[in-house]
Amino acid sequence: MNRRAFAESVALAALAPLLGAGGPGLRLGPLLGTDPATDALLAVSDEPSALARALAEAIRVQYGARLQAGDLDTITKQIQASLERAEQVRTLDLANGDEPDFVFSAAPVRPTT
Amino acid sequence: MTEFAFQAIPQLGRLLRDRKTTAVELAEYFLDRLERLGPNYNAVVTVLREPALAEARERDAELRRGKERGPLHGIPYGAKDLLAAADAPTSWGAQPYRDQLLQDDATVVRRLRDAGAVLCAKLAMVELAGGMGYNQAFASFTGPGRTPWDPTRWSGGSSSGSGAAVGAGLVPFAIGSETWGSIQFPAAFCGVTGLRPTYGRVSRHGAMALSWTMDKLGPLARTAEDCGLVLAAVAGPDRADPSALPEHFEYPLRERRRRYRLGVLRGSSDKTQPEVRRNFEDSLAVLRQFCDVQDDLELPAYPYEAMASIVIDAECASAFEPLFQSGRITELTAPEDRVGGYSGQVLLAKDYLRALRLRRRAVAALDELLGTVDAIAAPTLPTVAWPIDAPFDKVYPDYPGGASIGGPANLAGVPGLFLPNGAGEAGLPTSLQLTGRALREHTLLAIGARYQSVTEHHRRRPPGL
Repeated sequence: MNRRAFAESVALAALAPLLGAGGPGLRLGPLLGTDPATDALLAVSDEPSALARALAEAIRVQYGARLQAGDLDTITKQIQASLERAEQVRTLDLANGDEPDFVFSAAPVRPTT
Repeated sequence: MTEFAFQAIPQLGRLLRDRKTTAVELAEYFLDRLERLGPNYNAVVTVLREPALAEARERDAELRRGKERGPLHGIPYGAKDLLAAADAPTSWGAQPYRDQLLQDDATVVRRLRDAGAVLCAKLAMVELAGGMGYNQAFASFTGPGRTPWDPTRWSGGSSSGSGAAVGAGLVPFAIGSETWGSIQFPAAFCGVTGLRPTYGRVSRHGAMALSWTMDKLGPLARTAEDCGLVLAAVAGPDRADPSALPEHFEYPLRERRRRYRLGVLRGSSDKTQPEVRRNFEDSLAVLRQFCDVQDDLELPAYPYEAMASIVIDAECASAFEPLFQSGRITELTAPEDRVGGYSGQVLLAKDYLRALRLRRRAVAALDELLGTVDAIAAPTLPTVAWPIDAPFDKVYPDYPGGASIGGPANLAGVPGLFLPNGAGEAGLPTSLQLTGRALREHTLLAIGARYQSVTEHHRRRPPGL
């Protein structure tokens, strides 16, 4: 990510939290006004990628019976937004020894009394 | 009757200890306000009148016997309805869980009871703490949260009721939660003081999980001092929560009175409302009385927003998978919440793990920056409270804000303090945020208390209250 794109993503982060799961970039688009660089950063591609469509198909297979008309299009766009966020994270290299940050303990957790 | 509504915890405690009131009188006073005024703001899910009065009677009996549990003894409070309490349903703000009964109290609820505080109400919240991507205020079965400063404006979310109840003087303090912004927004929009503690500072046991590695519980109250007193009661290790840190937290902490080092991110007040910028500059002028200010800090370059979104989406998708499988996701209030979580169901494991791996490096880099100062100051939000009937992506398009530390801070789990700092558009509150290193809440609170000792913004009351 270049410096400008980074700075713009930081600025937009102020409003991102309310949008939570399912595509901040997608919903922030109209909020961004006319700054073309910012729009380019967060705009979701008009045409979902093959991977986005494939993953949407997985949703259709599992949950399609419960979805209404148009839902799958919305979900496909959200998947595309999610994949584009993953691409942002992929712009920085990781070493083999960079471990994920999560809590694991071999000792069983017991509730307090 | 004595006016208790907007008094800080130490003032109420003094009235109790001096026998000028009783815990029962305090509980009845705030229970009445919760029942009478709570509906104006859609702030309350359940008023716990009988259990609260029973607890208050016990606290009074203890006082008569000379037993005092501490500064929260006999002080009423409210809890965001994602905290389990054995006396009431725990709805998580969501229709599918409206009648959910959980057997045990959350650790936070138990610790507050041990400290003598009296739980008076379960408070409204955005459904599932906003994890499904809501884009409007009407995203809870209790209706849209309304700020007491103007009920046509939103109270913020997802701790909507916690912010509104404290802002309207319905409780002296409340517990909220923040995964990304959920204490910050209600504190700012409701004109109250809020503290987002370090991740792990407060046990999450018994709290609804939205994102196991990002959820934090913290107080909303009148003052920084009140937040410190509440944090001291709820912080500490908990065998039921492996992420709970071993450190205890004491308040007040005897800290040498000194000048502080304050940092400001370059561009942090850009693209904010003029009143927000003016109030922030006024705040910096006050802070300069006891802080040295360095105003050209820059965040280390990481894609914080993308990382945080991936982490939340993946963990939320797993936490709420049963809702998708059962189909009850369709019962959520906001239409966008009924479809917003599906993309997380197919988020790739490698992408989630990559975000977690990169997070460790981002945390180290941010810690290095935060180590150069005692706190980073910024406007809490670029605007005042949003109109309640507008989609979020349509409100205040000219003011998206400048460089923000909110996303990086939540991803890194570092603490934040939110303080009222004046009036903005239409007299609505604006807010100042201080962000510090992990486990440095005492420094943020010390700066916040000094700021509030020479300002009156936290004493302003909503019109008519």
